[in-house]
Amino acid sequence: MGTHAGSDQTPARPLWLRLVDQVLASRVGRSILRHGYPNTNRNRSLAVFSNFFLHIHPVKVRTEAMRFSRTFYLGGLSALTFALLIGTGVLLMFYYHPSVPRAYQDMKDLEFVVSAGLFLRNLHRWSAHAMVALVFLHMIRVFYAGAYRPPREFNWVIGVFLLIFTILLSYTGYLLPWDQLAYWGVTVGTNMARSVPLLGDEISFLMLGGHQVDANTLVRFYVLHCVVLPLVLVLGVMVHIWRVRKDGGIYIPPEERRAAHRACRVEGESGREEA
Amino acid sequence: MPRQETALATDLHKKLRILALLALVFLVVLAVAPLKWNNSEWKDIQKEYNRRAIQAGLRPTSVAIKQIWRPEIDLTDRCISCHLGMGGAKPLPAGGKLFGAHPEVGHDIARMGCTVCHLGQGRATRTEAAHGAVEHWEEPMLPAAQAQASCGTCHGESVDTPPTSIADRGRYLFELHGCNACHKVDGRGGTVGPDLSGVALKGFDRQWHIRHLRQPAAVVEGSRMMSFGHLTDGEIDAILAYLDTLVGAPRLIEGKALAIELGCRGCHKIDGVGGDVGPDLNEAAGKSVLAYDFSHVEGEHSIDNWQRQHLRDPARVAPGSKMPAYDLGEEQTVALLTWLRSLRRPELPLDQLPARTLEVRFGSGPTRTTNGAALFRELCAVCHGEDGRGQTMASLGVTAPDIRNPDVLAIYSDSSLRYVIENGRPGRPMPAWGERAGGLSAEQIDALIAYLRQGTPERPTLQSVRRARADRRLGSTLFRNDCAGCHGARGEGTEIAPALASDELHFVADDRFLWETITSGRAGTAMPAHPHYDAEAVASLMAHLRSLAPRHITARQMRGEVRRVLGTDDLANYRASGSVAYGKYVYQATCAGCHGERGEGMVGPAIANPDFLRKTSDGFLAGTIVLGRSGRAMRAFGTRGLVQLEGREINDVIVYLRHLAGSRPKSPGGRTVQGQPSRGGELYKQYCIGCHGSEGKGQTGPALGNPAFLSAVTDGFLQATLVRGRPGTAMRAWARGRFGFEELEPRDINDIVAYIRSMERK
Repeated sequence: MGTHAGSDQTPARPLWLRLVDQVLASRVGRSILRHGYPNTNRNRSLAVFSNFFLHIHPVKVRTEAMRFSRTFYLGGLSALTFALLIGTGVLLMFYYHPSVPRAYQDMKDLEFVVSAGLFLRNLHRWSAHAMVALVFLHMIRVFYAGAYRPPREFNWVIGVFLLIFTILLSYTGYLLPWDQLAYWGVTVGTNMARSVPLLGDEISFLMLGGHQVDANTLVRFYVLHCVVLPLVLVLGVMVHIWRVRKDGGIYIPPEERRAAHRACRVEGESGREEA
Repeated sequence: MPRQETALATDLHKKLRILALLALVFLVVLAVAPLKWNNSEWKDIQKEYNRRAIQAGLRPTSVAIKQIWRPEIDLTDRCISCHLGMGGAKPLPAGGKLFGAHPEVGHDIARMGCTVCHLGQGRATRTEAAHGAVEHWEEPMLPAAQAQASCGTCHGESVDTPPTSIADRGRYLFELHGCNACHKVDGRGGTVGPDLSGVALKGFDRQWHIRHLRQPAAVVEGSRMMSFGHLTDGEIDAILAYLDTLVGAPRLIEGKALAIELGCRGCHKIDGVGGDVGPDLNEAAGKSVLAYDFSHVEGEHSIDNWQRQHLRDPARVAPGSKMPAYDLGEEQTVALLTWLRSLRRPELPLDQLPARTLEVRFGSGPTRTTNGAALFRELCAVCHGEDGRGQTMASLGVTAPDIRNPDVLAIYSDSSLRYVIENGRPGRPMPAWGERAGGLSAEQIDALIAYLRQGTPERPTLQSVRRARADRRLGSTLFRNDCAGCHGARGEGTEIAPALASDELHFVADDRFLWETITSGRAGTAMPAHPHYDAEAVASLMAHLRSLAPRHITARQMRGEVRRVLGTDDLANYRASGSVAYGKYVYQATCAGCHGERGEGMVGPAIANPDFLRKTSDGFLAGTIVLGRSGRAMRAFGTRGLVQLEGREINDVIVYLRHLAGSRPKSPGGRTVQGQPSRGGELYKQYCIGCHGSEGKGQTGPALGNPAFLSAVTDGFLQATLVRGRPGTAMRAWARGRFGFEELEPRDINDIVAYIRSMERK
């Protein structure tokens, strides 16, 4: 991408571009964006560097890393579903009381009287299922591509924790509709925890806030689902992506990289990059 | 280079196009949900309402979800979003179920809510979901025909339903006297007077109605109703019983009356009262449709369908069920199912329940009837038959005994009957009916016993016996048939019963004592009541008994002896007074050797028997102690005895005996027989084992070894049954050697009783 050394600007710039330049050059404009319209390589680079959301990309992205079949966008899609879940989840929180008499009735109200409430709830549910599936596929992809190899071992470990938190989010959300399925699902789950040797009863008690699924459990799961786990997951995802960037972007197997280098040399480019 | 640039650009354009397409698809998906919402069914219905309202000249209503909200019982009913006429907007004339008004019931619908009565899913706004006809919804709507069931869930406990016969007579009289001409009942009748369909809805003041029927204008200002003063009290009672059932729920009342007639409570508990053979019906009615097993039911999975098929063939729908099949007509089936569904007891806050229901549930409300006939009809008749004559219960595989048999009733004391009713017969289908088990109060059980005894003839009064002419031949025949078995052929007394051929007995026993003992028996002993004797029979028997006295001692001698010890010979008016403590001392020293430590009987009879002490005068006791019984073990304690008691000491003993009887626990005592169980066992093997099985396990005859049976009956009951048999059953009388049958001696009978008693301890 960066092969085009552009300095051949046409003298007659369109009016709208000049207007944009003027706005960006103003005091207010400069305080917000510290670069001009990204139609030159310099401005494009600056746009990436100085943008909070885009700086997660490495300084350079290899062409071969951009291939769809390299990642199938699984990591990105996981992140996207997570964002979707936060969005719909916050909206759902406006309608939901984590209390025994109200929780189930709030489900009914979402279904029957909130405008498009059923769609909102279903979107949250579908995204949740999709996120779990995508995270699994992402891990499978990483595993079979060998992308856990040094120096990325620790990022794999972080990824495993992110998987666990994803599943915990899914599980804690399961109880919140407070229907029979939820009640028995959590009853079975906590009974399984009870069979842990030595500490089983204590773990189950900690999860339930008592000896059976009840109001305490509902509040516990609600706080975990809406506050604790999402915060931990956001933090974990940030570290995860930051490390991807620090480790040089998408993992490309060494033999492919060598082949790419050779191709570069044949074209007469200066391949100064280290392995 | 420019070529590369163009290639990149076309690639980018392709990707952008795909992105745009995806974005479009996503937008469409996003738009579907709000569009679906916008085309909700209820909006169409409300628009249709507005169209019709404008035609009818009414103001249209705003298109919005409408609901009845009752936070106090956590109810939100949005039914009126579609059923606009019932609270969402002004009802339209001829509006049907959607736009018409709700039929008149005792409640303000807009304050009451809908699902309280009809069930279903009040929060839903789609037809299927709202009517509860969706998977996993626990309370689908009640069938419309059974809607009155919900009246019963809150009010049913306090509605007293009279036996069908009385209410039917009332309805007949109501129509006979033309009340229908002016008053409407359940949609039928004139409109001059008020509609009486719900006349008993807000309580029923009998006295007011009686006065009103007699003189309407005096009670209601300006009433144009005619007076019904010419009716008899019985007719008015019947009409009022009918009016009392008019609570605006005729089908429910019909179902309840039918349930009483079928005797459901004989096996099922309802509101804490009933047998424990079948399941508790309140629990059954509270079961959600999801809890029903439909694997043996054809057709739709609804409670209504399950109950219908179960009623017709219980064993097929609920394998292992012992319930008899009921083939009822459609009308009756609907009524019965309405009543059954009404037994649901929802978890409403107590302040939301009607006051009368709370009165019944937590106090002694009006429905705890003490009408023995009604109780028998509702609880007992299903097994024992309407007349109590017993019947075979095919589905339970047992025969319920005849409980109106006069011979059984004659030897069963009230306390034994009470014991059986309270505790049932464990191991048999007879349930326990005591307060904590079957839910009957002590007064209700007494009423039942009184009802059972009702059929037995009224015993002749003492005056009529005194007036009656004694027939010596009749007396001796009666004695031979009914007395000789225990008292001996010439009244000489046996191990079972005391001697009647005794001068002392006839001196101390007045006519009242003999009359009382013959007609009402002696509870706790083998002496049965003979209420079926008429005055002549009693007089003849008494004359015969008097004639048995051997006359070895003259009355003058005895009177002299009594006067010497007691200071008076007027035994009829003799009153003993003295000290319990000293009486106890004298009793222990003198009487306990034969009569037992606490008068429970050993060689001598059980004299602490409360029934005996109630029927004897102080004079009888004092005279017996002074004179003894010549020829028997009872010695005389007067001036001629080995042990001589003073009059004061005799008084103390009598006071002590009365104290002893008063302080005895109310358990059925009467373990009085002294026999040899080992010898009884041999006799049992010889005579009884054929029917009653080895060790009393029962074969064709009942199981005598049943501990509940043994704890309920007295030794006297067993003796009497052996002596007299049980007419109408295979149990014959063993003490009468008639028809060449073998005869058991009194001693044999006592031994057999002792043997049967010994089974209790195994």
